Amino acid sequence: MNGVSSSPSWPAERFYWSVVEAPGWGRCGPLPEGVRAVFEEDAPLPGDELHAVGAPLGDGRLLVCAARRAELGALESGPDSLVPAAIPPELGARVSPERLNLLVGAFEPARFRRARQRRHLLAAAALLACAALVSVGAVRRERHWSRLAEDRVRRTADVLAGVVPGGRPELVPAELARARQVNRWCAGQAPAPDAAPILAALLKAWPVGVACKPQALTISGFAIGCSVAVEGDPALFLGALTPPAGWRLEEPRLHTAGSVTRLTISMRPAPGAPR
Amino acid sequence: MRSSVPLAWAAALLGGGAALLVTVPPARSARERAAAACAELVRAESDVREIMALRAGLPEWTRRRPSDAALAPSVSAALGAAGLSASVLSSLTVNDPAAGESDAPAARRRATLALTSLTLPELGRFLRAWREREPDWVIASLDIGPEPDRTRPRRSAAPGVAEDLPLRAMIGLEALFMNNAGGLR
Repeated sequence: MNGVSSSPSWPAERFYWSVVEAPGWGRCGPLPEGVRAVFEEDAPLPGDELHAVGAPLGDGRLLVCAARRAELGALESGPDSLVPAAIPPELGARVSPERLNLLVGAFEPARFRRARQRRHLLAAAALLACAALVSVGAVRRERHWSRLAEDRVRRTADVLAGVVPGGRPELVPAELARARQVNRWCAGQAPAPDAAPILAALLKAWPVGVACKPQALTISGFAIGCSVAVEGDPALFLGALTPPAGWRLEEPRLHTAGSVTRLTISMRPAPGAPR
Repeated sequence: MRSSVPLAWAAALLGGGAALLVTVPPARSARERAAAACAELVRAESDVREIMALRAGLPEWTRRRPSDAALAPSVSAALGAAGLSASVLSSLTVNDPAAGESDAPAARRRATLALTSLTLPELGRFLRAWREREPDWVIASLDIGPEPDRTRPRRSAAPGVAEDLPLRAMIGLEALFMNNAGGLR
């Protein structure tokens, strides 16, 4: 025994050795409970007096190395590890003795255990801190998005205020459909043309120098009709009659009774003329 | 110390999980609300642009509102303005919009006015007064003829000049109004 070294090694004779079947077990270190029971059947001492570790041999078997708990507990200098100096050659195990560190599990050096616990605590604290950071970020984003949503809702209401009652977005589709329908409908509608200017234009163009007796005058934006009685040759009247601007004179109808000729005159808007 | 590690992990997992559980779902729903509100705004702006363009494209007459006032007082006022007595008004018939037009965005109202015993200049004055006072009621048609029972002029006139012949005039009036239900806001 090398009591002053921080990684002492004991001669193989101070250990208890065994090779047990442990298919599927591939880790070095403390024995799993099932394998430990198998080992204790071979062990010359009660199981609770031994501390055993194992190293897989690679063929489904496990090399077990054990030492007395009392001897391990008596290590004074608190070494970092304790390994056998060699593996008994009769075991035929091709495993490095370094893999059989006895100071694991219950005999793990206290500073190692404390360091590991510290690492765990730090990792847990880091996890908690990360969660807290994510939570704080989520809260900030939730506030930001809520403010953004409120702003957009307010702006939407402002945009819609003059278009739909109360600026309610749900009314927009109906209003849009109505506007389209009104637009389509109104595109095919127009106020009737004013007949008064047509009358004025007709009177202005009326042949005042020719004797005639108007019988009837009908005017709309789409037609002018007049019935005139003319004494003598109607050609004089017809020659003097000019249709108002934008109108064309259609072929008149004549009915002669004695010396009086009754003219039925019809005018229509000229093609392309504004009405 | 040995039991502190699981406790620490349990506390970290529970505390962190609870914090995430409390804060992340509301943040996600807030993000969805914000995205929906943004999309709603974009859609509203587009719809409003289209509605305004549609309204701007409507003809001028669609700005008119139907008058609740009866037509008879307007006719009397126009007769007065033209210096005519009310006795020349023979009849006034106002037709309600045709069935089915009440559901349409706009309605066409028609009226027929019969004036008798007036001369052509008097008719002209009436028409001018009417157009000035009631521009929405268009003179859609005129049917003018000599008064059936009076074929002689009121006073002597030059040959060929018919201005003093008493006339009968049927005046068709028409107005195109937006219905309240179909009108513009």
